[in-house]
Amino acid sequence: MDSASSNSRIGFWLVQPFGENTLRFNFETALGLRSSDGVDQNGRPQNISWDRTRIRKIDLQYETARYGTFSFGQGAMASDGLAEEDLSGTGVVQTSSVADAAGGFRFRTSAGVLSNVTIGDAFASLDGGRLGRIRYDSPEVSGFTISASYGEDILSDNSDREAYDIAVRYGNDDLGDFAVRGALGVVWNENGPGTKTRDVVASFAVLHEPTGLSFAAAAGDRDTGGDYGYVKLGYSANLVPVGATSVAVDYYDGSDMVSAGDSSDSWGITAVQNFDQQNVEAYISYRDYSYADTTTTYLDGSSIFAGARWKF
Amino acid sequence: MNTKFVTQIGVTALVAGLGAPAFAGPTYENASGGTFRFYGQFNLPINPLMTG
Repeated sequence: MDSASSNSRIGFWLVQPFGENTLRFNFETALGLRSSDGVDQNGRPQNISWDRTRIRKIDLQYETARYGTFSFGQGAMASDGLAEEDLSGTGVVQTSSVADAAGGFRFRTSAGVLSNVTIGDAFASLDGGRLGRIRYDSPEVSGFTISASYGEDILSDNSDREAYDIAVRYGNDDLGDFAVRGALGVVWNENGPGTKTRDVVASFAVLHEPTGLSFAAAAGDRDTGGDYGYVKLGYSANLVPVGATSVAVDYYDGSDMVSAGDSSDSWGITAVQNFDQQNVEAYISYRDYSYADTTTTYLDGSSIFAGARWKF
Repeated sequence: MNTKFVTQIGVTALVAGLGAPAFAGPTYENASGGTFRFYGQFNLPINPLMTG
């Protein structure tokens, strides 16, 4: 099985400098392994299923020294990652996208019947994604970068989805004893007539480097309904010689995600052990999910998610 | 808490991964400073076990 939060993939970069400017090409595809958020109580998808929608990036970028970076092709929208600023060292498995571990599972009603409400529906992060797009990223000024993009779904059959967005990000790894990240953006989505939405998404993360203590927060709001808040506390230290050990706890509180008046609550606890020499992060995470709406009572759910990511 | 979703760790894959040597994707460079770099990752929580 694959992890929906950071799936298995391969890719390559071609980079060619031209004077003070640089031309880059990036191809990246997921391997198409069964995703953790594709499993539900009724079964599992195929072990491997690759089609063109698994392509993550076919991205041509032109980075100029003075005017920023221009990108064309399948790749990250400006809003991709807006909700996931994190300095806890546990981002491999624990982010504001709390549904990644078990997003396909459906809540049971108090009568024990499977409902149509999935964890993925009830715990959205409203984070951006990847589309066939044109994108602009400004040069960094005092840690700030402004990005904007317009994209369409060019990989799915019969999709009318289009989106445009604008985002501002801030990063500073040398703010005294602190490292800081922040992101704020607006995303307009449309997937056919009458489906326009506008999402406002932000996240913030800070790490106190001498102690390894970290804090992160995220929030999002959709104009047609659905909003949430998310907080996370983390601690990272070199407890064993093989690499850093990180632990974190988080809490997600959402409203109106599936229907007006509903509420979604989730808390989780995660541990990640790095193995630096092998480029491996081993992780285990427990998460509890609660959902309630105005008509039905649902049972809580929980997940244990464990595995390892190896990068090369 | 009657509904429980459990994904079981792939112990075999994890142990095998930890035993593997570190490997960095190859990088090639041409005469004008251009580079090619291959990369990837495997993220493998396997053997899902569901109850409830």
